[in-house]
Amino acid sequence: MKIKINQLKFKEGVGITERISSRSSSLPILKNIIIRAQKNIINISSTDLETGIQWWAIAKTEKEGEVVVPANILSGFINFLPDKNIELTTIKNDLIIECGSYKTQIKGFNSDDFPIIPEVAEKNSILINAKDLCKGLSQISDIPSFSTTRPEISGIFFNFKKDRLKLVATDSYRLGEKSLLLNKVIENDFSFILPQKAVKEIIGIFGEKDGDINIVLGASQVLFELTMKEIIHPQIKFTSRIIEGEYPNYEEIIPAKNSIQAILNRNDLLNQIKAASLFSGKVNEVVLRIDPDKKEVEVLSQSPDSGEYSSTLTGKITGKKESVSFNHRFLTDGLGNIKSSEIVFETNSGSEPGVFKPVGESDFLYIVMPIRAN
Amino acid sequence: MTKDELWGAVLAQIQLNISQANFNTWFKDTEIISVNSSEVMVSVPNSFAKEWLENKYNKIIIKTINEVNGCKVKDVKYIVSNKETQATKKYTNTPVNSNQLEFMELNTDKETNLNPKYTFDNFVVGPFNELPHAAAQAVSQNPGTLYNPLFIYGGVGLGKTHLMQAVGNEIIKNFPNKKIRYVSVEKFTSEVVSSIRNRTMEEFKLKYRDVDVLIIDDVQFLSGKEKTQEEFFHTFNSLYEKNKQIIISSDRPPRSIQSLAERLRSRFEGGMITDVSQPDIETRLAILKTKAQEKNADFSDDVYNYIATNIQKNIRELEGALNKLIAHQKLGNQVVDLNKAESILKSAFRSSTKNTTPKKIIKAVAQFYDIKEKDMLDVSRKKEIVRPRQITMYLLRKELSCSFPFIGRKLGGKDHTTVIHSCDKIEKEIKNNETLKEEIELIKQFILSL
Repeated sequence: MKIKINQLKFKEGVGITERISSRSSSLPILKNIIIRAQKNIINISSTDLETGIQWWAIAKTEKEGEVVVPANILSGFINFLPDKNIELTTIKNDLIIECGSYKTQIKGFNSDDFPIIPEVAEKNSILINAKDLCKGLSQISDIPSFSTTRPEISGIFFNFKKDRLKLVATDSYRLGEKSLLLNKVIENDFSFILPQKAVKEIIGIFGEKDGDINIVLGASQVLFELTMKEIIHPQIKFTSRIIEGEYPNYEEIIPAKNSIQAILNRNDLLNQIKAASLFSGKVNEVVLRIDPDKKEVEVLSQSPDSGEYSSTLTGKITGKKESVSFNHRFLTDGLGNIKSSEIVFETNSGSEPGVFKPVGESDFLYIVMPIRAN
Repeated sequence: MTKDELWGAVLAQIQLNISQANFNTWFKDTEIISVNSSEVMVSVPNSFAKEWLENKYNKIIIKTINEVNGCKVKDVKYIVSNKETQATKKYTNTPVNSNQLEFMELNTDKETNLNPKYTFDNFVVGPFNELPHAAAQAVSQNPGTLYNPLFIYGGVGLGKTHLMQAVGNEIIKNFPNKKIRYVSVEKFTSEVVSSIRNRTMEEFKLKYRDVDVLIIDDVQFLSGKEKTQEEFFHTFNSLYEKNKQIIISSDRPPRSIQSLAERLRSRFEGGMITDVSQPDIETRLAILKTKAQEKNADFSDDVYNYIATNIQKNIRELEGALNKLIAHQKLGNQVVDLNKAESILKSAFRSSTKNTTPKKIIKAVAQFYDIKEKDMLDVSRKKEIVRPRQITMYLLRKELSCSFPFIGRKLGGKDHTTVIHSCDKIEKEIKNNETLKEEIELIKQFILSL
């Protein structure tokens, strides 16, 4: 093959595909990426057999062909190249890179051994703004934890219903739900569970991209696709397996009504909880003591080793006096992902879920189970 | 030749022709689903394997099938099976303390509150739980007639909840029309509280008196909750009179539950009381092997032996240790042998042996007898305090070999002779008093779970 491409462009392609070239895999070829010179277009792909990334860009092709080279060596090397045009050629399995005064030969492998990234046979598809999707996902993507017994909840639930996409994640101790408005009302509702790892890749790949992503759901896979600006051709295709099984009926977890409500400044609450966490000891326990008469919430923690902490913040509080203990990590995780300046904290009692919501927006919900008070 | 044998023979042949890495990647978790004269259907774990087998190995697979089977198969179809593969590499385990509450809704049936994963089939029976198991099975065949109520007690992590839920799940199977409700006392309590507050007591009563089988977990938490006890008593009576089955679990026998109304205690004692004790080594081994099989993992016998000898008192901990090894095996893609198991689990075992501290003993006794720790450390001579205090002294001496003066100082500045007297007293009493002996055993287990 022989192809010419701009250094920055090439670096982007290698950077995106290198993300999933896995390190400790049983199949050594997966540590590589495949570069293909096609007519007027360069294509770089990688896979870890769970997900696949394919990237395309316009390039000047003089001779078509393909080459498989180690992702880490290539990406490490490209960063040293000047911002000039790069010429890629091959000798047998090896890749020759020429750029300015640099000339390199990277040992490659037989491209016949490189896995084929399966096509997704479309059952449903929908267009959604890339940045909005990634922003929404990043608000809940850290919540799931890997579980062999309940694989369904180790992923993130995408639920497309009428004019809305609801993204849901839980680790059985807490749950986050983000709603996004779709551009149009869809005819057939559909849903799938995407592995957490794939979600994090999506945020990394599409987080800064303009335009819409086409989400295409197949039988056992889902595709996230972004189109090129210059010509009608895909720019990035991210394919992932989906987690088989039914997502639990999570809506039961959302309390229908809460008798206690406190509207608080988010930053103050977050800071006080972080300060309290220093004294919460190994059990991570921080107590929120709600006092509607004094119109304040007291944040408390204590540990036999480090000492005690207490602080108060005032707010609009209704309901009865109550103390609720939480794992401070769960609180800071959730509050950190709420963007409004004020939050609503609601609960019924110290042994029932606590609900956190932004004030003025109804598109995010974070629910945490308390620690049983001693 | 069965289809499994055929596929086995095909794999054995193909293995010789391709690299080990390729073989492991593309043929792992594949199997033949169906064979007919012209077509073979193979299930594969993911779309990548499907794509690769179709494009790269299709010819050799067809050829090998025909060689092995002596037939003329023309086509092999590959379908992605729905089985969940263990391909997820990242293993995150949120460290949570044991008091962290979970969303119950995630894995339970909404109507019955039962979790379908608990069945009799995956319950390992040994001498330590033969009787409760037999009673539970009998109840699941004839609910409401044989043992009513059935009261199961025993320490943490010995399978009470499993057994009770298994009864529930079995009854659903045997009598699909029966209404079953499983509820923990904590949940029951919070429902009582909220129905008092929301003035929905009638609905609450209806909900619980309408069932055919009521399963109540952790009944020791009724201790001291008078209003809930009263509600529970009425519910109990109403069901009992109608010959509805009631199953109760607790971490201690009825007579050892502090501040439990006498009328409830006598109701509990009116049925069958049975206890789950600690599993012996053979049973622990059996449990480990069953759990490993459930999770599609296997280890050598000395690994099982190692776990079973080091964890004796808690089945949940057995499972935890096993899960750890399974995770290592799956992540590292290598066999975990005894040496590996030792290095992986060593830290876990070490921390469990040094788990007992004076503070924990005091806390455990206080919680067990539902009194305040502060009172126990005070000079109070109230009868209900004196006894637990003596037991604390005895345990501090027995479990931690604390000196008599130290124990005296720790517990309200008692003279060391008082401590010696207390320890002797308890020591003697244990020999003749079965209840006390049981209680102390339970407290010991309780300490470990703190």
